[in-house]
Amino acid sequence: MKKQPNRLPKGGRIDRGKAFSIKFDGSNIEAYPGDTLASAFLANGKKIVGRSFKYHRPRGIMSAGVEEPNALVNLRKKGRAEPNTRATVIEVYEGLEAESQNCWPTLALDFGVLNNFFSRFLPAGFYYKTFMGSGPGTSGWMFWEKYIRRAAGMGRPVSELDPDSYEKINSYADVLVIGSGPAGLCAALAAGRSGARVILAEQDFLNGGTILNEPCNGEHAEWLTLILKELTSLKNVLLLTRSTVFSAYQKGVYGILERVWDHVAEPPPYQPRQRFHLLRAKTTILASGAIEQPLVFENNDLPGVMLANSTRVYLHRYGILTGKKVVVATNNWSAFVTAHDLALVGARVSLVYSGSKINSDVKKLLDASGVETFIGYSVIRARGLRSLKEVDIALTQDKPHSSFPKMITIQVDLLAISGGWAPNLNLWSQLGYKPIFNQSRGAFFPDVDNLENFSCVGLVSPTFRNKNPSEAWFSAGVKAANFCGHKNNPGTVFPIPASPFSTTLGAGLIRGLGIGIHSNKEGKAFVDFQHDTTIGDIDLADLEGMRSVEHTKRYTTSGMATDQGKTSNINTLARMAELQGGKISDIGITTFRPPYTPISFGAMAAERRGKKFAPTRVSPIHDWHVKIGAKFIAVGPWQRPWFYPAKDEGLKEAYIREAEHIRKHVGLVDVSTLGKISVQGPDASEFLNRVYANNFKRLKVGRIRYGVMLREDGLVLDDGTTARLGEFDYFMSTTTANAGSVLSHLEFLLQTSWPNLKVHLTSVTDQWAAIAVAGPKSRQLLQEVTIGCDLRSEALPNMALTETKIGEIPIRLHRMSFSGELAYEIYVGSGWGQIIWDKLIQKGKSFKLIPYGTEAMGTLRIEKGHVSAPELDGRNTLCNLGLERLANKNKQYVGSVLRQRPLLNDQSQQILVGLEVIQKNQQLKPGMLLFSENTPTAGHGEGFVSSVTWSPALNKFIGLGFLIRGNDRLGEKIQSVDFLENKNFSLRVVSPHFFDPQGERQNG
Amino acid sequence: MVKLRSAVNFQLKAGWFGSEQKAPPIILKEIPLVSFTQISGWPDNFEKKIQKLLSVLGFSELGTFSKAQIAKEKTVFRVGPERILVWSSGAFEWNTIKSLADTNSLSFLDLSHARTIIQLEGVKVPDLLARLISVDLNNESFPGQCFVLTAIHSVPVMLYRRLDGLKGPSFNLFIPYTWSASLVELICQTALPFGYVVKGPLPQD
Repeated sequence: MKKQPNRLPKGGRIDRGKAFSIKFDGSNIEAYPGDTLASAFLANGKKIVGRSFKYHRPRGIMSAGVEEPNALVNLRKKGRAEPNTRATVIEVYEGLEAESQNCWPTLALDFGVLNNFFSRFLPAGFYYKTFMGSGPGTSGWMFWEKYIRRAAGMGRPVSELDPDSYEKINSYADVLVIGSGPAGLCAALAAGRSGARVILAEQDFLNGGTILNEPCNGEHAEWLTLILKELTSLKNVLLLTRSTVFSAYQKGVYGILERVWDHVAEPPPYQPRQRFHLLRAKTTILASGAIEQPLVFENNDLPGVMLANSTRVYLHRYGILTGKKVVVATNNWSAFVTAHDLALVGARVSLVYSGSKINSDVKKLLDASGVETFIGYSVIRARGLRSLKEVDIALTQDKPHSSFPKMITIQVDLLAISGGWAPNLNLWSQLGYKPIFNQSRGAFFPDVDNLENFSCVGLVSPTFRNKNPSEAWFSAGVKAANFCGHKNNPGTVFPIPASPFSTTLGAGLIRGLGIGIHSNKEGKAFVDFQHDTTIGDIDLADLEGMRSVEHTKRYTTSGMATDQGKTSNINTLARMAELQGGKISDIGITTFRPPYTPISFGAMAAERRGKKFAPTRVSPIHDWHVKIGAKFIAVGPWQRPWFYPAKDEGLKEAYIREAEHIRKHVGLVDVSTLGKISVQGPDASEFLNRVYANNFKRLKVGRIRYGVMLREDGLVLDDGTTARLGEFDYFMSTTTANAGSVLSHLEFLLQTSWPNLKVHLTSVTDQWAAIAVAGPKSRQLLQEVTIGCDLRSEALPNMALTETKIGEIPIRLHRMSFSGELAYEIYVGSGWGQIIWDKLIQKGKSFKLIPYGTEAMGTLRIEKGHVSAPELDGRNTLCNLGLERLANKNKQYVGSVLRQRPLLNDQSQQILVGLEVIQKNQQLKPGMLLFSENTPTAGHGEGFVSSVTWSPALNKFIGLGFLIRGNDRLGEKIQSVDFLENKNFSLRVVSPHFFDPQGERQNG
Repeated sequence: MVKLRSAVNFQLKAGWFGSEQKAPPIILKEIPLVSFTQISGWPDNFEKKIQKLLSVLGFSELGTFSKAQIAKEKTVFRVGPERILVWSSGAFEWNTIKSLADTNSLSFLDLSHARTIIQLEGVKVPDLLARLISVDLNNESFPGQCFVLTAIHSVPVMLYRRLDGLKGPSFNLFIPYTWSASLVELICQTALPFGYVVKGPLPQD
């Protein structure tokens, strides 16, 4: 077969000197740089490029832009595969591979076409009626859903990792111009000359919009070259091609997808495939043009039926003659030029115009080019098995009829149709505005009269028929720039050359509707091509009571596919209006929502994937932990050392060894992750007294106090310690997990409840590294490493602090214990944290010092009965936690009123208890439910296990948990049940203070 | 005094990374924080007290919430109505200053370990930062001496634009110490398409 049989010998904006092969369904197709996949298909005479969604009817290329409903393909392979891409916007490149989708076994022979023969049984609402409620409850739907989903059309995603990168960028502009057609270019030039920062976003890979539909060597092309040259020279103007403004939000915020390297097989090293711009613009000029609408008649989906203007695009931009025997059928003037141009390059063209007359000058041009005209005629049906062969036309006089006794049949290979134009107002509509229907023009237009920072130019503007369009476009740019305060002299307007047809560049475009002329019910006349919605489906919806456009849309799925109804909305509305005997303006329009065209998940996620999904936070000593081989655990954003395995140790062996060692010798644990808050100011003590349940007014300088904070509802928010560093200077520590929420809570109180208190709160978590030194030899170790510091209990009792030095480095030493051992916490500037840690490790060798992780720390605190995050889960009261004695009865504090509610102090509720397994090797698990010994184990039980560990001190599994009337049940034997693993253990209820309940070790 | 240990030792290794250009479009380096102090007060007399203190330090005015003030080796950032940050790139004796101040009216908080400063310089730095923060860094809206409290990947950071350097626009990014390893990794990854050069790391004891 001849390569590119439909390519004309000259013309088009393609590089004919660099032909290359691309692959579609494994076959080679020749293409040129500058082609789209669709133009390559058409140049090579490929008619069937896809199968329809529901009926699997053969489909060809219908358009030349983003509105394409038929030619959806699966682009690229493996991790780079992208389903549902429109062949009309895929820029070809050497090595491009694409496959057809929604067909089996092949595109040419698709068994799914059987649906077409049973289409009588698959009308709109078929799935709702047939499968929902087909069994008890939702069981019927649940059964059928998987089969329906498997059979559903469109492409399929891949599970391989996408090897490419994507990026997100914040962009700013004074003026955003959307669309680089002649109107957008003029407006951008005016705004740029005025001094405004302009971004001109164009979804195509070439700037020019409808200018690109004109012959590439005429005066329009010259105009385009000149204006682009000037725009490129302006440093304050950024021309973004391959960039679709896909979403619009209030306050001038837009989403733009820039397909940076989509036009090559693999992006260059380090370069992103796509870029997501989050753009903030002070003012916007919408120059997004209009989309041609199809006519509705029997078999209007046959391959060979195309939108009229698209055939002209393929002719002038790509040098392709899409048919030699052509009928151009239209209800408006815009298609006349298409008929004329196709005839000029040798096609036999019949113009079928449903209107009553044609302007005499235009008629002369048509006659001169050899176009045969049928005035007052419409297409009634198209014929052909797998592609278009004939069309039947009849004299209709622009009025709907149900039967046409006299029809003329014309042999054709291309039917170019135009049912009018719909202004491309999606982005404006996304801002939440409702468009206004202009009855005389048969189209919806944006209403921008009252918007000072948003204007429309070109075909999307209701005033596009202005006699001097260039002036209107230019002045819109000047006005936008002035709005942003840029008032440089904009110079003179760049007048656009006139067209003999006055169509593609301005007047006469939008007229009439594609509906009203359609067949009887014998064949399928499609309204929504991508979702296979026929005119019969719209009629059925009306018959079944769907009067609202929102209902009809959902019932028939018209306008719901990836093309978002770009070629179906208007015709659907028109048919609804016809059925309801009203006007389209009475029906209204559905709301457009982002995205305007599909965008990839990769672009939305950008760098936020894999390791970069969320930032991590590490302690100042983290590198040491990594070097020594610690295993880490994520605690919120923090990476904490979990345990330090020796040789082949697993978690259990390591934490038991570490915990046992601390009870005998000494160990270090990195507690830098604890929340640290500086509380400063003359009213700091008053503030703390109001936020803690216990008394803080009498805390002396140099002393530390454990405190519990409640929420306003009386439940426990967090616990921690606060040290008084100076008269007006406190240092609060919180749990790692609650650091952020505690600071927010305190700041909120300070700013809203007590703005008169002279207090400043500052997070100092990053300022301080914190190292806990625990174990019976901790004092000896610290005595050796610190300089001139008296660590005897008399000098530094438990819950006291002092400032000293290790080497030259100043530290603050808090004597306090979470482990129940004699213990200290060293606070040192973060930049010195690892230096101090190293020194302690080095000096600690003679004391058998080891590092221990969070798991061993948990063991020690459970043995001691200290509550932590599993117990402070936001659902517990002081009473639940056994901490009610801490609450001061002689003061008011946050939560003091509501904590008095009787239920919150009821001792018969779940109370913190200790739990010991009876058989020591039975491994308790957090979350196990607790039941009395001889009761059936069903329901939620009488409590649950919150924390568990193997206790080296007790040589058995122990845990903390909450048990109804826990205080009264010490010594009782109960059951713990794990329903998931079907386990049931016997436990003994004990005091939560398993180890050293009198605190002799920590106070010693 | 013992030098501070860098939090980004492993992230900032000297060399050229990513796309190679004729001249490095982005130069990254860590610069020492040295002295970073928060001074705060209360509405009744903050302006009066702080002006007095700052004049002792050589500042003629307090500055605005977006423009830093510079005097000798010190820079003042007004980060709140009654809160400033004083950054000194040279050694600084705060105890002397504190002794001059009314500590009933002003609170001092040493934050000299709390941030990592990454200096970014080069013609492509605004483009790099546009991928990380949502602030318009255009010359007119964010000229030299401007600063902003913003966020990268939801982590609070302070961005300060220095007067442009020889290699192009120059910024200092103040990152919380414990987040800095992760954020610097992200910055480096984001800079790969431009190509970047790391000068450093900071010398360690």
